Amino acid sequence: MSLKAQKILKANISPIFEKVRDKVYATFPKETVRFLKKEVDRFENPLGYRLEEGLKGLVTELAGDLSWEKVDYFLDRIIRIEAVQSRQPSEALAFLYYLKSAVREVVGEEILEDFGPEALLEVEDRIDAMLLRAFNHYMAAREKLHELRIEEWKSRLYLLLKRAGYLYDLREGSLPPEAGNTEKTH
Amino acid sequence: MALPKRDELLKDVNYDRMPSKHWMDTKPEFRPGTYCYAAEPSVVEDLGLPNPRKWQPHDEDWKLPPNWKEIVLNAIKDRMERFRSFKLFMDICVRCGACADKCHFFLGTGDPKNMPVLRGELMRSVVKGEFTRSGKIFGRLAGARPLTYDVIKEWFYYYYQCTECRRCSVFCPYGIDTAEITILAREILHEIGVNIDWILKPVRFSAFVGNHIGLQPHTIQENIEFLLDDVEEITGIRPEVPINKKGAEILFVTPSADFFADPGIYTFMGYVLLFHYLGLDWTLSTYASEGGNFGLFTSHEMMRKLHAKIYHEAERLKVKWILGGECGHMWRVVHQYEDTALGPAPKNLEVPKSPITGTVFEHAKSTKIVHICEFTADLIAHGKLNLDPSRNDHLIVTFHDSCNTSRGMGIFEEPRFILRHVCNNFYEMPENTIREKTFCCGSGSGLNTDEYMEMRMRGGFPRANAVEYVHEKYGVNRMACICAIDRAALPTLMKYWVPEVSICGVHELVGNALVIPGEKKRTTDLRFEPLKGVEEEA
Repeated sequence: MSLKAQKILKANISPIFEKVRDKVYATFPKETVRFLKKEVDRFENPLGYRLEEGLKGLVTELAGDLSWEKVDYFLDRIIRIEAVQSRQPSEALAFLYYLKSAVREVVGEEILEDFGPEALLEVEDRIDAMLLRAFNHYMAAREKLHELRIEEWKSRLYLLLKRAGYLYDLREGSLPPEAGNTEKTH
Repeated sequence: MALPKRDELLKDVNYDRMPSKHWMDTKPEFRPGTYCYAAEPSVVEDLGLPNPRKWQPHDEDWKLPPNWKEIVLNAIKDRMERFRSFKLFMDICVRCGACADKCHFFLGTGDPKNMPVLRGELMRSVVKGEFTRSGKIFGRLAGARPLTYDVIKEWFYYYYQCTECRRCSVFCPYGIDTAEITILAREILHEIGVNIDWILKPVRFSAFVGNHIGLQPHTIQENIEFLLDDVEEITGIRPEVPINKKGAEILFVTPSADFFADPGIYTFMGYVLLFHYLGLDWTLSTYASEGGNFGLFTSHEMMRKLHAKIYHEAERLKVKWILGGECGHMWRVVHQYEDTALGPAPKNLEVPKSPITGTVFEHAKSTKIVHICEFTADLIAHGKLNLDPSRNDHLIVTFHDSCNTSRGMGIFEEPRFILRHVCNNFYEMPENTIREKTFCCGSGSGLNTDEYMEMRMRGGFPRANAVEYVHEKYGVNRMACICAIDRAALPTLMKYWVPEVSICGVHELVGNALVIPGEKKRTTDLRFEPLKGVEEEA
């Protein structure tokens, strides 16, 4: 389903992206932002590269025929960073809130004038939907972190646990597969 | 119609990751996941280190000794007198910023105090403020500050957010090695009892028992027998693993994780298959059963104490030379301190000479310790190994240069030479992320503990980012490395950032590819994963 305001959004992908990027960067220290903006090599500046790639992707999807597959991809890439960077969930997902602000600030008035408030609500609903999806990604990342803490202990003591018969082993089938991870304990 | 500004709603919510105050006024926040736990008092006591007590970094009161300031200042003065490098590093930095964006912790956290220049400045400013007249008079204007309680907390926070990987030093035009500043900062903090459990427990076990988790001799032997059962099932061969054998030619020392931790055990299988193939006269020692030396992360004296066990065992068992396994900081210790702080080697040791090829390892003339990758690469170069690289065809491999073996020792070619001979699919990561510019796993220097998980995931992000690239471009599904902390930390890092990629030691792949006389037809690799083509046949 395409949006009434699609044309306006499409014409303004770059300014919206720049606005939201600057809002997200405003949460970093000044010295860091200077670097994040300057360095273009994706390996020398992985943080900046991924944040910008993700934000640009989300803005493009918002303006286009939104594909949830792509939105999930970009959300996941940003949120996996935020999940280990932020102090609180609200801080981690604030970037979508900033996206809403950016849209309002850059094209809000224009959409209102051309199509009326419904068209703007339509755009904001899309962002709300993204925000809901974002919770899934955030929880998945946090749960993964905790799962990794446990798994790390298991692999650290792998042989001792295995000798004691405490590990599920695919070949021996000491636990039913549904009892846990079907991977061979790592 | 004027639209409401949404951001105003957030006005009262503090989302600034770092307030825009002067760095000297910014205090670290000890949030779970971003710091390591303090050492248990009994461990500190056992090791004879100062100020054993119950405390945690998130406590307001760290229970420092009353004269903590005097102790720290004396310790700084002492280190400046003993180490010219430290004295220079506290003086010559011109703040050019070449190092600023080279630290994986800065790249992963975006915290400016993780810029190596600022990490050095944390100490430099105090040296200036406490020991120089200009610093005392001009204070902050001259980049100087006094030593305060908060400074101690800040040092702890940031010097345990440095993995001593040395990437920054590669880019410093003056050759300032921030890793050495970190090493000494930690050493100084130990004097007032500011320490972490994850480093001191392994130190205690290494000192009292012989390896990081305190495996007793019989447990080591039982574990190895258990591993040999698997080796026998896979290859039809049961290699002999001599333990504490007097008069053996070679003492083999490897990180103890290779005896019991996944995936180090598969690397161990590779070693023993290789030694069996060669008919090597070798032995393990249960007392020097640890290549790793967490003493390096404690103090120079502790490093010497732990390393001495290897030489003592070499002397007691009357071996001719020492072969070292795939370990990281063990090699930094050997390469950088062996000839000075830790030597000389016992007299019964000879210049290492490969009994198979006759190659004399001249570079190890004084240390008497050879890296297993040098040993194996020499065997391959002389055509002494019958290898079938197609047994690794189910793997698409890349190589992670471990910080300590690359920047701390200079091993770049040997593991690559081996990998090119034992597998058919080998792809390098981008040039600015390998060799001397390699990115750390984010968990080195004793930080691979689970309570530190979030920070580790941040610090390892630049590495994971490069792995993801080769995974997408070439389908890489396995990353080889030659360091036990890597083998412990990288699987976790990968599962978070690039779950399709698993981790192994180089010699696991050697063990897979080695065609051994008398073995049965292999259908799986050393992890019981089916070889390529086998599933189709079945």
